Amino acid sequence: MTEPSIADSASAPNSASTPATAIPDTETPTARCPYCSRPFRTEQACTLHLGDAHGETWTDDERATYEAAVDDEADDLFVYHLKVIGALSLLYAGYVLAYMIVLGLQG
Amino acid sequence: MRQARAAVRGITAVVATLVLAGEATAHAGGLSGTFKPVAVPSWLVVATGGGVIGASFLLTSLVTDHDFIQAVTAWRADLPTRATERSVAVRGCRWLGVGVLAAIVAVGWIGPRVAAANLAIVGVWAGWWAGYAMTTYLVGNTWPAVNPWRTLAALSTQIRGNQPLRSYPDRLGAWPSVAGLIGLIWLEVVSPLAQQPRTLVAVIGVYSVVTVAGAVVYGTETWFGVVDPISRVFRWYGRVAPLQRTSKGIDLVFPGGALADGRPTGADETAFVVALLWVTTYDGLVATPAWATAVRAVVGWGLPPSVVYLGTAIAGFGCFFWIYRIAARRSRRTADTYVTARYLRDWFAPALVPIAAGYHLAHFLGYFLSLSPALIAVVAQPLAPPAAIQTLVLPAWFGTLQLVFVLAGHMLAVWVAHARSFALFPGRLAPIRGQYPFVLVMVFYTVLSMWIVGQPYTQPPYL
Repeated sequence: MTEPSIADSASAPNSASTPATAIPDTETPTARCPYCSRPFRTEQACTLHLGDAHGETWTDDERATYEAAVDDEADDLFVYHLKVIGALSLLYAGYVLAYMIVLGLQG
Repeated sequence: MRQARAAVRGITAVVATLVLAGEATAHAGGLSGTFKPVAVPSWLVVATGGGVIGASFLLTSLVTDHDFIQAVTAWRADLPTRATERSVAVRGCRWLGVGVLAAIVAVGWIGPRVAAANLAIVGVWAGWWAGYAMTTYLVGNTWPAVNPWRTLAALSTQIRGNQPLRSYPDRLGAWPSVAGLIGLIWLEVVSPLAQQPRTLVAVIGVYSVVTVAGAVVYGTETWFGVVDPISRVFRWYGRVAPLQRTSKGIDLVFPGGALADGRPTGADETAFVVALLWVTTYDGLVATPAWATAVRAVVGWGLPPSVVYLGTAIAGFGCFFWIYRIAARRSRRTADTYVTARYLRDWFAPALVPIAAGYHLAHFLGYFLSLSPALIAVVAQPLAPPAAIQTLVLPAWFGTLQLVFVLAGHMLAVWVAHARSFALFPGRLAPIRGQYPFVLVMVFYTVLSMWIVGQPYTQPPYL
């Protein structure tokens, strides 16, 4: 397995809860968690991580940003779930059609 | 063993087509009194299986609350048991295990030569590998208590003290157990272990010597915790089960709950899980017509059959592992994360275990039930079993149940992957997106295994 990247997980202080991460040579991480220094590709991911993992120790500012990020994501998630419902309907319709055609051809 | 499975497989194919056709035929049945069941082509049955997995992923993606997922997977209830009861039960189980092993070896050697009438064959395949193995993922892993080789090895440490003679080389990790598992399945496929009681006893003898010697040399905990493939299989199966042994006693959890937590340990452990999945597939694959054709062609080029069987067992494992590694690398991209592909590969590996358990149940429940009268007969009269050994004929709907088990294992796997993904990635969209490649891999496994289950039984050539 080739990973064009620098592994920096070994240096993480509390590797018990932090996954091993690697940052490609050409990139600098957009954000790093101030508590466990885990790098993130987007500011939003870092903010959401703060709420998921460090909810007990964070500051009020961080809490406010987190709540805003959750709201933002909720909008995206709503659209995503509409797509999921669409995909489910398509899948169902596709199988019903396939069975109708196959059984129709045989019967 | 394979003959019984072949019958079951035949029933499965027929019933699968009938039941999956159920939606359309139900109307006909309601309107007129007579209707002819129509066969659904096997490609559609297989595609439906893949579709069910895809749909169950889409449905689980609607569950996005971190706290809820955490609450479900971490839910546990203490079962009230007393320490004295547990230690008496464990001691009883230990000696029961040793007694059963001794009986199997003795009766296997001096008992009847007919496979279906011999306690060793019926006891090992129907009783232990089918029946007992099911209890490890349906109820809880009791193998550390009943494992007779552990008891025998513990005897020697009582005499000699607990100090291992050598320390186990750490760099080997779980790799010997990966090799051991693939080796055991290869041996099961190419040798008459299910037909000749004495061959089976010889293999048990070799395994016993290696295991007890290994446990004495490297220490009981190291051997059964790291090296022994059978203990590792049951330990993984045990993590699917609702009963979990803890330091304080016994906990009740949701099935698969124990797979949702715990950090990955490394490539060796992941390789073992993939090997567990592969050997279940391989066992069925060798009895398909396509396999027979392919093996005849390859042996025609001048390769010895046992080498072909061993080569394919290893190559198939490599192929499964390779596909799974690609999925892990893709997941790094779909989740838009800096977490390494290796970490992802090891992180999601436990999600594959319910798939293996589901296949095991599908393959062996029918086998166990149909042979259970034979098992009772040979246990009751091991040396002079009745001349006509009876077997149960399973009802036709049993085949549907088998497909349901395969699908249920996959659905549990989708859920475990979902829970593990939410434990790793921040937010709610990244954990869903991170699962895409793994769900595709699961769809591939479903399609492959349902195709195998639907194939007519063919005697593996050259054996």
